[in-house]
Amino acid sequence: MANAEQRSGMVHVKAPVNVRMLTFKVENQWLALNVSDCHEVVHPQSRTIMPMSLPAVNGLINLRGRILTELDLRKALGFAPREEGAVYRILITESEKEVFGVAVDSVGEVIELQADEYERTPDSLDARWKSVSQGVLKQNKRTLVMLDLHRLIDLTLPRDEGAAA
Amino acid sequence: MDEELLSEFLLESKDNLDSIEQHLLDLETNPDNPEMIDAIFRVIHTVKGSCGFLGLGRLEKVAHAGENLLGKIRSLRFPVDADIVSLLLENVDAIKQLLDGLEIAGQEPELDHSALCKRLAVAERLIDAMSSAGTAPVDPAATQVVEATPEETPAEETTPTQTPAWMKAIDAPVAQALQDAGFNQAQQVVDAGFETIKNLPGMNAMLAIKLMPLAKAEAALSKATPIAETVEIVDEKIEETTSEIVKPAVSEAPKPRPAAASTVKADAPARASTADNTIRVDVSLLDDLMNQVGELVLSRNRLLRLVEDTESQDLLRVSRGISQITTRLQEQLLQTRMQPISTIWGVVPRMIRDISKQLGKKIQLVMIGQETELDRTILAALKDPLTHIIRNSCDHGVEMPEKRRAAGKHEEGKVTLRAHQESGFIIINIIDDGGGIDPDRIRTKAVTMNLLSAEQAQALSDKAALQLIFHPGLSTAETVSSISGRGVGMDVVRSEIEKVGGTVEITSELGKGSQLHIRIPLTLAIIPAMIVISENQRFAVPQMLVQELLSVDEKDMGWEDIAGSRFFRLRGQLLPIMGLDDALRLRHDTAQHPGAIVVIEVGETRFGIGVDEVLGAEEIVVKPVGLHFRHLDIYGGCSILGDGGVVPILDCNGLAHFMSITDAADAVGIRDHDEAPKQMQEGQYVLLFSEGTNQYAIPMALIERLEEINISMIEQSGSREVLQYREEIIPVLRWQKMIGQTMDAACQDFIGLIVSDSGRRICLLVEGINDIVQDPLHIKLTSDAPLFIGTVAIHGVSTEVIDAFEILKQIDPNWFTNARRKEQQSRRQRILFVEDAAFFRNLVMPVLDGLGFEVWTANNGRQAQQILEEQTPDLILTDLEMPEMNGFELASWVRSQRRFDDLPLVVMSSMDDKDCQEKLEALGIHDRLTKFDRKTLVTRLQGLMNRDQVIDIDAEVISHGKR
Repeated sequence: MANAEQRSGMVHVKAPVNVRMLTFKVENQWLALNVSDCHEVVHPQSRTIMPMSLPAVNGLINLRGRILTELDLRKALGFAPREEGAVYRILITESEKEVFGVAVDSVGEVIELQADEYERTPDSLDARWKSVSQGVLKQNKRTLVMLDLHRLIDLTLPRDEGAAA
Repeated sequence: MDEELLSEFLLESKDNLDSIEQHLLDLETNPDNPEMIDAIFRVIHTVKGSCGFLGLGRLEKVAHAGENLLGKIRSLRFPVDADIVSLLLENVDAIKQLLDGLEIAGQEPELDHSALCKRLAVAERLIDAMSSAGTAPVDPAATQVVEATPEETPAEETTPTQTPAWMKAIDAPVAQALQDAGFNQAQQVVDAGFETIKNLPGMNAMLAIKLMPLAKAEAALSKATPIAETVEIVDEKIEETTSEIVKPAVSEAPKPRPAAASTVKADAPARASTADNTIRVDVSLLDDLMNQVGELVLSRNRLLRLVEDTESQDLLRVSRGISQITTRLQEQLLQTRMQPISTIWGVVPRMIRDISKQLGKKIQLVMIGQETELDRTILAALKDPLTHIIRNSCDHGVEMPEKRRAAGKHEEGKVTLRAHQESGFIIINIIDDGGGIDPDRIRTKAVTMNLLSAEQAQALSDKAALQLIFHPGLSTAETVSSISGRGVGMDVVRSEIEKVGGTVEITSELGKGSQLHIRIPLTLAIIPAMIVISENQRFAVPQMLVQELLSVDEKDMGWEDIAGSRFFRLRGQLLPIMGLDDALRLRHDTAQHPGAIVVIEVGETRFGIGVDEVLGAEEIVVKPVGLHFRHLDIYGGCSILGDGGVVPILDCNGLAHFMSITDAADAVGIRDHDEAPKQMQEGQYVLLFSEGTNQYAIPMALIERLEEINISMIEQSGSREVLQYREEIIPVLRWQKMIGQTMDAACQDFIGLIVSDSGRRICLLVEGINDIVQDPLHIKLTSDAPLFIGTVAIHGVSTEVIDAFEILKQIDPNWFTNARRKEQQSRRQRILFVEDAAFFRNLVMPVLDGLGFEVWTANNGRQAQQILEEQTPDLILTDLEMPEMNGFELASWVRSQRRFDDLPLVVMSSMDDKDCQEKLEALGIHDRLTKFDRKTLVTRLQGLMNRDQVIDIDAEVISHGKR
């Protein structure tokens, strides 16, 4: 932590300082969410499948006595479904007063937002991706898509998808 | 000095003194309010009494002086003026001062209040003199005695050269500038407005900004008097409506109590003092707490399950302790969310008045059970439907005065609202004595609207036909009001009520009136639910809607496929069955046969949910489902089960809609295939079970639950068999034994019928259940055997109908009769102790306990009266000065009741003036104790009670011990 702060002190940044992002991965794509949107990262929980639910919904989990809806980022973003028994993690996020679990493949580190790495969402991006992206971060070896949590949740809700099944 | 007593005394006195300060101020605006004076008097009187007991001489003196003055004011009905009020306030201040010192130092501070006492005494004498001389109360003499004359003179009257009082806070040059411009009074400044003031010579915007709020505050203050007047007017209105409510209620249940109006008034001070003991809490905090406690309950359940197999007695004990505390915590927390139904009924009197004016009808409103409490969420949800129903009752129910007269009824119609609690549910009835609803017209309407065929309509019982008013197809305004029924949005009413887990039903008698019967759970937070399994997944079904559970298999004769839909023939009626696996698309291969059917009734629709297995009943905490499920009306919420797993709660209404089962035409159409006799629809539900070759029937109304009971669950308590059931220990009766058959030792598993009545339960063990049927129970042969009512034929089998009350009596002969005299010897003697001051209650209680009495306490005469309505103690010990109903009133009521002829009544009060003596003599009360005398209390009580069998009781206890 102290290290990160020192670094931000040395580099002159134009973009918002002190914005920290949690990085995680789905398939081969790195993604990032504002740390303030995330409560914690937990291991897979035993989950209750809710019949007739929306495509991006995995089910309900019991997180220390609290019932949360678990969404699947793979399903939400149109990746192939996760294989049975594959390792994954759940990000516990909070958006518009509801707390959700968001299943991702793996979780990386917390990074400081660097202004010179930031770029606006490319126009050429897939429409679904574009609707949830608030920009990309270009780092040496990888490019991260910064997700907008509220819009991500909206994407999984029926009003965007039309009438529910 | 007893530390505990002292601290309690301090706490109570301070609370009380704070409240009377307000009362004194109220008294000033409303000088001849005897209730208010009574309330103030009581507080000072209690303080004085307590001081005497605690040996606080100084405090006692000051309080005594105050009490004397108040007593005089009270007995002479002397209208107090501002000066007397300030003198009394001073008295309160002095008492507070002494209390504060006492609290800090633990002993009375060295303060001299003799001057104050003197003034109080002089005032007392003056009042005496003045009223005997008949002079006007506001006498210059009084003001002379009372030195504390208010000094403030109205500021507005000062001349322009003097700076008005309110301007003193303003810088002198500004004040001068204002006065130069002719602004002396705050109101003038306010009226002139910011723009004008700013532009005055010598002013600027900054100064004006500072000035305006000062002026406004002052202007508001000087307006205070007119404001107070408006408040009073509002008050009157409120009182008018309240007495309107109380009046009919009193006439319904005539109890000997003073006039209704005075009851209402007397409430006011009492309410104010409770307000001091309450705090406002954010509801969301309570909701959070409720959630947490819900979790605690579930964790507790988990713990108990783990502990079941433990060998450790300690662990078991601790777990039980935790379990009990959790239950209490939950119950009490539920209490905090409860609000009386009067919170939503409050608007009704006004509404009825408006409607009746509008329609030119005369309608009297009666409200019974306003204090019935409900969870606030449910209350909020009920508000609209109730309003709607009441409106309908007035609009369509009660007829016009001419029509009523013509029908030989009283011109004034009556709408009655009644609420009461009944075994975990709240029952609300809305009754009108109007024209009623003609079921035939509804039938006709339903046929013309193509809801039913003519044959279907004819087949419908009257009761069932009436329920059609809740059908959406029949609820458009023009259709229903034209057939003189109700139904304007009655479908909405029903769905709103069902949303909070309630049910609604209508009964009506043509020409006599209609009655809506609403049944709702006490709370939504925790509900009993059936946990079912379908395709390895668990679901919860609210038990409220579950009518019965059927165990079925593929080979069952009842299955019928009609036009591609599944039905199950249940007691002659076809029940549409929805396979849960099928409905929720749980499996992809072919649907399997359900192993069980959960029979659901929502509204007028009955259907069965086919599941693989029924796991059992569990109490669950209902939690809302997330955003992602809100569009699915098949889920009513979700919950966490004992093992930590999440389970969806099915919304049966939504499920029925989802499967389009509710289509009334469908549902009723099924009755087309009905071969069962029509009267099957009437009558009550009875449970049938057999023992040997005989079949027995017991009314379902008394049976709370059916439990599978293994013989190992039954414990021995003395000579009785008992069962631990929901943290209670309930007696067990074996049916075999009761009918004198020998018990089959090989039989290990029984069905326990949990019979519940007036809050108590027993478990009746039977071998197996045959069926549950609805039967009018036309008894063919009455029975002489005490356990049976008689014999009926049910489905051609002669069945003995059990007299359930007789069974309850076998367990406890006093199940129904409330503690009668005949069992007096076998129990502790009971004292009803009536005292308003908690301090004294706590002081005397140990003494009474020590004497081996069972003590019932009441805070005032009214409460005592309520207790006496239901129970009879062996002695009444009462204070005289009490709110609501004092000791004299209580005593004279008791003396007026025949049944209390032999009941000794002991008065314990420090009131010792002559007047009081005489009153007591007049009531024939000679047993009289001063408050402080413990020894006399003991001897007196023993003396009085020894006439009864105190010694017998002792003897019995001893013999019991030897056994």
